[in-house]
Amino acid sequence: MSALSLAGMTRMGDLRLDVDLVVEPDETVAVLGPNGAGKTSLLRLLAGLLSLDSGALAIGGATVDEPGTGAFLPPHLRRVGWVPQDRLLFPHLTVAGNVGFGPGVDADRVAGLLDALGLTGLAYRRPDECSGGQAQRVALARALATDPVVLLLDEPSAALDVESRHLINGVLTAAEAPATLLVTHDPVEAATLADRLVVLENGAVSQAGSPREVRSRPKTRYVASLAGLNLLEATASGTVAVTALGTRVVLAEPAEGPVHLVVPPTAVALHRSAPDGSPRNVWQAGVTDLQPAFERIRVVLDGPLPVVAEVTPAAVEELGLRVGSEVWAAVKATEVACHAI
Amino acid sequence: MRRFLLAFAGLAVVLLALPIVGLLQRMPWSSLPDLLGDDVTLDALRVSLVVSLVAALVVLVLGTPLAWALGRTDLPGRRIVRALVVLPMVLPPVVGGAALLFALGRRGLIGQWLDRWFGLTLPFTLTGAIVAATFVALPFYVIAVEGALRTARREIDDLEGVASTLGAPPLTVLRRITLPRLLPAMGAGLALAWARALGEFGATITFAGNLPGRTQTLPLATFLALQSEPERALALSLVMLAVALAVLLPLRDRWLPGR
Amino acid sequence: MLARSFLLAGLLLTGCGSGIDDPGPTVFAASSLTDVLPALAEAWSEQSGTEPILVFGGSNHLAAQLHDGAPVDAFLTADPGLIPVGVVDVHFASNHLVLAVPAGNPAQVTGPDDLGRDDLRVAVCAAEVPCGRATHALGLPLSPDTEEISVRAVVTRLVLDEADVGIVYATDVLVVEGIDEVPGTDLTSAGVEYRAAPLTAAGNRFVDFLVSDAALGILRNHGFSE
Repeated sequence: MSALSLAGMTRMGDLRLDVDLVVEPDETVAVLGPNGAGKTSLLRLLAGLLSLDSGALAIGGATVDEPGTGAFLPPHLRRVGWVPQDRLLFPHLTVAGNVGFGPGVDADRVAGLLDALGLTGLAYRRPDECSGGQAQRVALARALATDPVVLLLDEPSAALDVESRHLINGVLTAAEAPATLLVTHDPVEAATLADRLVVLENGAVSQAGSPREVRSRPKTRYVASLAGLNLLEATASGTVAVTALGTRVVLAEPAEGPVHLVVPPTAVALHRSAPDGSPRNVWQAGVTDLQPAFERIRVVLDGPLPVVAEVTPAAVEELGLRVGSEVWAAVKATEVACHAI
Repeated sequence: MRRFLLAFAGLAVVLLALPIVGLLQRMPWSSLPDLLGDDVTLDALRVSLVVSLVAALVVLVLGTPLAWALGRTDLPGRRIVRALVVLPMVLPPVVGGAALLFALGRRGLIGQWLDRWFGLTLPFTLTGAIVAATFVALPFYVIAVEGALRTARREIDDLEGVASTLGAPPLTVLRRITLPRLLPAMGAGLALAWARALGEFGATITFAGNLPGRTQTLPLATFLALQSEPERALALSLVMLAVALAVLLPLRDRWLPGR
Repeated sequence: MLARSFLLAGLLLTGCGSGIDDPGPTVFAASSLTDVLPALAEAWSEQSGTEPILVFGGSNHLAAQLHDGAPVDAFLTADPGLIPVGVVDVHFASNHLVLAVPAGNPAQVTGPDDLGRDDLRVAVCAAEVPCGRATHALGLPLSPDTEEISVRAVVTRLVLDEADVGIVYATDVLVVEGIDEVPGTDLTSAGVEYRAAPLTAAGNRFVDFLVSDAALGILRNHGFSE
């Protein structure tokens, strides 16, 4: 019996949320998506603050929302623990008061959770006297205190200090942690905390799988950009694929029909003048942006193949690259991964 | 710029303090014990306290649901009701009293049925004075609380949402989350309403009349004393000042917004 | 143009007529003279060609304004104690009290004894105002439900049938349609004497008119006595 099982659709204003999602009792699933994808709305739906227009939602094996039969269990009867993005601690209660708020939460449980999250010394402080990291821990303790079947976390690691992050991770990965669904826009957080990733774009699931699978075979621009990869849509026939802009890309192996072309930024070589040599894909591009990224520079290019190249700062200096410069780019056919859609 | 603002603030303080200073300066300090101890003063004080406190209670009981309906629901007709709520504040109190008379007097629209069926008449009774005071005081409370509900609507919605996911049923949420969040605004509104009820004159005398010991409140007694015994009027003014300060000063820091 | 509008507004506020060519004496008068004084003022203006400015109010308030220096030519009041010291005032009218009931006498009041009944709603003037002093001077057993701050308020209570019986002036029953006098009751033992206090030369002329026969006729018509 899964901890959470959703197959349904709901419409809120302009957004149409249509999601199939299952979370098993012992796993942590991360829902990854850009802002506006519907991540917070998804959590509110699961918590019971929004309702489905069609489909069904079950928590702990029991149907809590099914428009077809008129079944709807209000939030206070669902066994979910929600940790909102803004934490929403009750300002007029102390930390201990917040953690112990749920009906039936006894003092022992409160003490245990405060201890696990390093909050014992803060038990009598008010929320406005806590730092961001402390507040996040309090919110988590409060949600866990009610012994939920599934824990819903909204951007759990946003603006956290190291100690808080450490303590929270410890609690979430412990054996007794409930099934957890977390939503985030940060792929690193998703990869660190989750067993499984679900990518949500514009209210629909665009890809799902383990973090490694999703990263190595991105199916949408967004996922690719998360992984730091370039992704282009094209139509292949044989060893040539034609992109939406009409550019011809030479492939290492033949393919047919609509494809995704994935090019790692490190595979895009930049030259001052048209290079000769083995690369089959060569074109002239303009530099539209230069972004420092750890010890490399990401060079955003426009032109027939709009991609991002990643080069060393020394190379940028040598080539005299500036926003607006013209440069020659080259990619080997063997570096272009081609996936049929 | 700062000095400019301070100058005007100073002017405001002078405007507020001057009448009090004038009052205190003319106070017949030596005759005060006699004036304050006699029946007229004590009766008026008793009537005023009963009327204002009961009116405040009624305001709390009727005004809180009204403020909730206006600030937290999407019921139709809210704009009309809001205008109705402001009405007693803009009507001259005597007009308010006359309106109450035409509605609830012995021959009033509703009043005549109250008289005929239940033998219940409001004019010339303590209850009538309470009704008049409630009428003028209600808007102060409703506006304060509705204002707080509207500005904090998003926040209250969110907090209530979290509370219910933690397992609290709707009534518990109301009791433990919503009401505590509103307490400062409720306190401030109630203090204002009570103060208004205490000082009420025009509507009271028009609707409930004036009878020492039954409907003669401190303001009424003061007005009449001005006609014949100015010293008594001063003494009564002092009593009102003292009562008002005694209740409002301790509340100033705790209940008014800013906490 | 603006100045004339202000003057007109001022006159309208003081309850005067529309003529603004020659303002007459400013007269402060007790509110119980509200019905008779305009008639007297009209007679005066026919005679003198000027329009008096009439200001009505509770005698105590008017006296206070006088004391503070308001530009008044004559002060008409039933309370002689309010007239400034040194001013020679003259008695020009009298009013006595009557027992009154709402038109039609719905509570079937028969006489002054009913004033002491608890089951009736009794309205009288407060002791601090002239009509109230006169009422208490009658020495009748009273069980009032309200002691109003002016006799007009008592009249209103009766007209609206909010009170069953009350004590008002003889002039009120004559002028106001909604109240009746209880027949066969004599309360003339206590009454009110109106005195006119002239404060300026213009005031003097007006006060002289008030004690003339013409004025007396108008006063009688309105229920006042000598």
